[in-house]
Formats: sequence, structure tokens, C-alpha cells
Amino acid sequence: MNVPSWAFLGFSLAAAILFNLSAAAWWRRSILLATNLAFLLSFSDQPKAYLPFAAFLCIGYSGTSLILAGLQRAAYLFIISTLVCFIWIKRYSFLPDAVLLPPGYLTIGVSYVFFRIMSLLIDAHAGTVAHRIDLVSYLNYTLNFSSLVSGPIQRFAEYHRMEVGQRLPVDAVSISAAAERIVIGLFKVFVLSSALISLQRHSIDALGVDSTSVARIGDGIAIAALYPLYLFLNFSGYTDFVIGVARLFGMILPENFDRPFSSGNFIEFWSRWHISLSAWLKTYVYMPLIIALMRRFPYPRLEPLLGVLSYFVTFFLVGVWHGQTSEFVFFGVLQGGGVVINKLYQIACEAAVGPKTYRRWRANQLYRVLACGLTFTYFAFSLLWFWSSWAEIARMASRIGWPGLMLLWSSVIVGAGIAIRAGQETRRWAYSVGIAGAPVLSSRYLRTVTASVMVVVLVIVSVALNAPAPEIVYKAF
Amino acid sequence: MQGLTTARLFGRLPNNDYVLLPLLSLLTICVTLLGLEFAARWCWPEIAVDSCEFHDDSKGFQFRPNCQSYVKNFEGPLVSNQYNECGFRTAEPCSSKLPNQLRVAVIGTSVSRGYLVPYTETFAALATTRLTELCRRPVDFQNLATESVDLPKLPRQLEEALSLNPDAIVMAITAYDVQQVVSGRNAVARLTTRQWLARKLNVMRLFDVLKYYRNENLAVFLDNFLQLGATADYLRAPLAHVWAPQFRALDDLFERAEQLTRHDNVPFVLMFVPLLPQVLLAKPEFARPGADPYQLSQLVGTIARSHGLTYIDDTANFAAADDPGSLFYRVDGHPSGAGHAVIAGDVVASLLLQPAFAACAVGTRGPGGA
Repeated sequence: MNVPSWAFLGFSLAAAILFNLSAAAWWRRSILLATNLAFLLSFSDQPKAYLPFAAFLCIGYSGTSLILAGLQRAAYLFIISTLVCFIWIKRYSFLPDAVLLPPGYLTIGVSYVFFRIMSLLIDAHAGTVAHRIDLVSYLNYTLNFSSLVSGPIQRFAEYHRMEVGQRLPVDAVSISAAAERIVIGLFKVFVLSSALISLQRHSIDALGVDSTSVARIGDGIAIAALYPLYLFLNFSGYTDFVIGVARLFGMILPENFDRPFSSGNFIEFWSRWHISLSAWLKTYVYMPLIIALMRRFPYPRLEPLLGVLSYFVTFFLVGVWHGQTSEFVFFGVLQGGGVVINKLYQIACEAAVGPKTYRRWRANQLYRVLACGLTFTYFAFSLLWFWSSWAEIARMASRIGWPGLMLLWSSVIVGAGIAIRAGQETRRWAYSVGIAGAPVLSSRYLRTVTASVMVVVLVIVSVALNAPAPEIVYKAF
Repeated sequence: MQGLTTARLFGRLPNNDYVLLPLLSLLTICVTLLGLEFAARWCWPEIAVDSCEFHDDSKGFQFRPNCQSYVKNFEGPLVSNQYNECGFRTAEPCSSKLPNQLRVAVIGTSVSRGYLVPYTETFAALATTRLTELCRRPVDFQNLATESVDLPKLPRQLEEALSLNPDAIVMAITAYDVQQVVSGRNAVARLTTRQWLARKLNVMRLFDVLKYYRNENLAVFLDNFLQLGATADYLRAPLAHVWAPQFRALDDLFERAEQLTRHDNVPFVLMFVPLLPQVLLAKPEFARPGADPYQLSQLVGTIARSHGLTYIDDTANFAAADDPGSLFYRVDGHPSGAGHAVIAGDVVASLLLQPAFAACAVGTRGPGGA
């Protein structure tokens, strides 16, 4: 079952109605478990396809139970086993073929299940999970159908709070809010992201045939600048949709995006993009790593460098997590490199001109335009290794030529910077227009009208395309 | 969780809003649809009614003599319909033949008439030009076909055609015509709920425009068509028994045509023109299990040949086209100018086999005389 899709929406609505028939904990846990398993079983009718996935879940549950039972020494064994099992199931290319299972087994959402199991094992070891976890809770947490495919990544503590009854009430208002979020998500995925990826593919085709260098640079700008927007709309649309669906069950899933393209630097960007992943890595990779390094090298002068090293490792892992090819390794190097250069630049500027002057720079309008433009452009540049291949990148670069490439990226920096700042100013102005002290933009009447128009456009586009929704990019990870 | 309430997260909702907001949503949807419909009608205009058309109780739909009208489908060009002094869609007059002139009378329904196709692109006009070149003498095609004739009234049309003293009669027939051959209302294609809804929605131009873009993907078009219940029955093998009345009616019709044409010794060429789903299914890349694009045309051919009619099935020639979608109007379903060019080729080829046109075929033969 695709997420998002009309079929998934129908499935979720039916499950939500059953779920809300009774407030009894046993009923809700049972319905949620049945829903999660039914959703998982929709991906294959071959029982064998589920075995590796089931083994992976078993390792996590056994480890968590043993650690919570007091067998603390087993924690490292289970953490390493979970990691190895994940790499094995995901068929990372550095593994010899002889040790891999034949393909065809279920891997849907396995990365997100890995994050949940890993956080559970680490939290249990750290003592932040104080109680025993029964099998139903474990399965409902790890296999939560609303966020199984591509997240967002929820911590067990957040899930557990809802399980013990601290759910959002499901009433007319929250259902309306959920519906609005679902409509916005579907609109982003079905309409906006579909249009953008079509335009980007059209530009890739045009690059191969356009004869003038000006046209080829124009194609290059469209190819580079449209993909980040597409990825954002595709993934944030999915996130909006599943957050809306989860609300029908009274569940609050974590947000994944906070206007990432308004970021003034690359470190800030990663605090606004795929937030649940970067927060997970910050908690379980960055913090333990920097603490370990500081213990190993307890010299205050080394602290900034140790921070930079930890940043690099963390964001390198972000890139490598996405895939098993050399392109994704390089994507990881670019992410890690980006935050390192950003951090070193901040350290150097503060050392050279002082924190006050540096802050004044950052408040300067022109500086902010360039900073936003550069952040967007660096991300767009790094994404070339995310959606393309070495050979295709080389082919596109050779079609445009070095002078053209320089002009292309300069144009993206300036154009994106101006567009982002204009967007920020427009948004600020729009929110300043209010009636009775409240912004018109957040008025429920305007939101109702907007969502209704989106519904009409959505239905029309669905009928016109008569094709399944575009794939969610992060479904593959 | 303390304080986790919808009021805290989303704000309080006044009681009036429980009525106002759904009404506002409904109103917005209606206004948006009306706006889009208005925009669709503005961008894709149509002239649906042929102002020269009138209904005659005995002959069915006819056209006023020496009349000119315009029709336009939203997906096609503006088409001028010029009718001669007999009310036929023919550039040449319908007066008596010149001594050395060859004349072909075209009868049938919309495809024969060249519905939605500019006159010079219709198969009748194309064949006129080609045969005039080959025969080196004047050839005219008097087109008596109408748009919505009931096939049972065809003998009346045929009698009128024979009064023009033609050298051949040509008629194009489609699967749709065969479905409609039983007078009154077609007994085969009962409307499903989905079709009923589609017909109601068809009054909206917006719906047509959406179908136009959806049908751009021919595989999607074909799969949708095959889900259309009785409408797609003629493609499902074997043909359902409910087609028996259709074939009995065709048998009667062709028997009458045989009697009339034999009396005047005029050859009758029946051209089976496929519809887009048939053309697609005839291409290997679109083949679908349980669907046979040829079964209906083969059965019609068997009946036609049993009455001595010359029968040509155009399905394979349509399927040979690289872009079969360009041979039809995507939503309306009638053959386009490109489709008529294919029909014209087969009409010319089949007429050259008739005795009156045999001399014209000399120029088309190679050194071997084939």
C-alpha cells in the first residue's frame, strides 16, 4: 500500500473509526496492533519475505527485555547485533554476496524501525526506560503504520506517553485539523511535487538537445534548483499526511520540517530539515561521540576541533545512511564537509572580528540574502549525488561547460537568496495583516477555503493523471 | 498529559462555526468548480450543434441543401460543413453524372460523413482526389451519410444513393454502429452506475478536458475502457450472447442492401473502421488477456460476405501506425484527419478492384502487373 494514497487514507479512516469506538486501553492497543500488522502484510503475500524483518524485530525485543531485566552487559552485544543485522538486511554493497540473502524479502521502513529499536536499546541501557515493555507495546511502537514507511522517527518515551492514555482527544476540531493536514500533504505530493519533478525531468531532457549555451545554463539552473524544492514538497507532504492520519488516532508524531530553506547557514539547515533524523543523530551519535572524545582528550583548546570532528562524523552518517553506493558516500562527505566548513567559518569569524561584530554581520540584509542563497545552493549541489550518478553528473557538467557552471551556481546563489528573503518578508507581512488581533492567514475561515480549493484541485489532478501518487523519495531509505 | 486538549492546540471553536465552516467549504468547492468550468469553456470552446441539420421522420437526420455550418469539438479544429444542393457533405454538385464521370455514393453514419474532420481531410475528399488522379477522369463522392442515423433507416439512404446512379457504394461501419443497430436504444450496452455518472458529468467541459489529458496515456485509456462493463463487451472474447439481436439486425440490413444493389448492379464496399481500443489491442505492446480486437469485425465480415458485399477490415492498417492515438479524437473517439487518411487508402484500394474502376488501377501496378 502506497503512502500517501487514497487506498491508505481509506484504510486509515476505517482503522481510526474502529480505534475510537472504545477508550479502553486493551481495545485501542489491539486495534492498533491489528492495523499495524495488516498494513505490514499488505506489502507481500509471501510469508518468507517477512522472516528477516521478523528476526530483526526479535533481536530488538530480546535485547530490550534482557537489558530492562538487569542484564546491562548484554546491551553492547544487542546494539552491535542490531547494527549488523540492519546492514545485512539493507544489503550494503561492501558485504560479500555470499553472506547476503537472496533479494525479495521485505525491507520497507526497515531504516526507521532500526532507529526506533536502536533508541530503545540505548535508552534501556541508559536507564531512561524504567519499566518493562510488553510485546504489543514493542510492536505498536516499532511498526506504527502511520510512520513505518518513512518516519518521522518517534522516541519510545513520546510513544509511551500516548499509550498510557495521554492522547489528543479526537473531536470535531482535531478531526478538522487532521483533515487539513492530510489535504495539505496530499496536495504537496500529488500536485506540487509531481509538477516540479516533471519540470526537472523536462529540463534534463532539454539539456541533452538544447544548442545554445544560454539555454543549457537555464536548463542547468532548473535541474539544480528544482530538485531541493521537489524533495522538500515530496517528503514534507508525506510527513504532513502521516501526521494528520496519526491525529485521527489521537497520536502526535514529531514534526520533520521547519521552513528549512529560510536557514542562514548549513548547521541551522540541518536543524530544520528531517528534524527527527537529525535530532536522533544528535542524541545518539553526536552527543555520545563528543563526550567520549572530550574524556579521551581533556584539553579545552581542543574542544572546538573535537566538536567539528563530531559534527563531521554525525552528518557523514546522515549521507551514508541514505544509500549503499559511492554517490551516497560522497553525499555524506558533502554533508559532513558542509557543517564542518560552516562551524570552522563561525569559529574563525568570531576569533577575527569578535562575536558582536559577527552578530552584526549576520543581521545585515545583504549578508542574510547571500547566506540563505549559499545554504540553499550548497544543499542543491550536494543533492546531485543524491538523485543522480557520477556518469550523469559528468555528462550534465560537460554539456554546460566550466564557465557555464560558474554562471549557473552563481545565479542559483543570488536567485535563491533573493527569492527566499522575498518569501520571508512576504510571509512576515502576510502574518502582520490581522483582524481582531489575529493574523488573517491563520483564520479558520481562510484555512477552510484554502483546503477546500486544494481538495478540488487534488481530485481534478488525480482524475487527470489517473496514476498512482508519485513515490515518496524517502521510502527507499 | 495535563492540558493536552484540542482547545489548547487549535483554539476554541464557536458553536456557529460547526455550521458555517462546512457550508463555507461546500460553497468554496462549488465556486471553484464553476470557475474551472468557466475557464475550461473559455479555453476549449465547442460548437456542438450543426445548424444545417434537421430531422425527417422517414429518413432520420438530414441536412438543408446549400447550407453552410460550423462545428467544433473542444479537442479539434473549427470545421466548416458545406452541403450541396442535395444536402450532401460534398464539394461537387449532385446533379446527373457527366458522360465519363465516375461516382461513388457514401452512406452510413458519422465516420462516413467525416464528423469533426475538415472536409478536405475526410476519406471521401481524399479518395476523390486520389481516384481523379489515377483514373484521369472526374470522380466524385456524394456523401449521403449523416451523424446520428438509425442504421435500420439505412435502406432509405441506400435507395437515395442508388438514385444518383453511382458506380459504387461505400459505407463505413464501427463497433459503435453495430451496438446501435437495434432500433430504439441499444440493447447491449446497459449503463452501469459509473457510466450513468460519467454521462451526467459529461455536460461539464472540465470533465472532458480532464479525460483528454488522462487519455494521453494510451495504456491508462485502454485499461479504463476495458473496465467499462457492457460498453467494452465487444472486445471480450467470446462475444456475449446478448449480441445475437445485433447480428440478426445486421443480417437483415445487409440482405436488404444486397437486394437493392444487385438490382442496380452496383458494388457495395463495407469498410469496418476500428475504434481506438481495438487499434491498441491489435498492437502487441497493448495486448490484454481475454480481449480480442478482431472478433467483432470478423463476425461482421462473415455476415457481409454472405450477402455478397465487399468487406474491408481496417483494424490492422490502423494498428500499423506508429502513433495510434493521433488517428482519433481522444475523448470523442471519432477518427481524426490522420485516421481518415488511413481509411482513404483502403477505400481507394478496394474501389480499384471494382469493375468500373479497373482501368484506373493500371497506373498503380508495377512492372509485374500485380
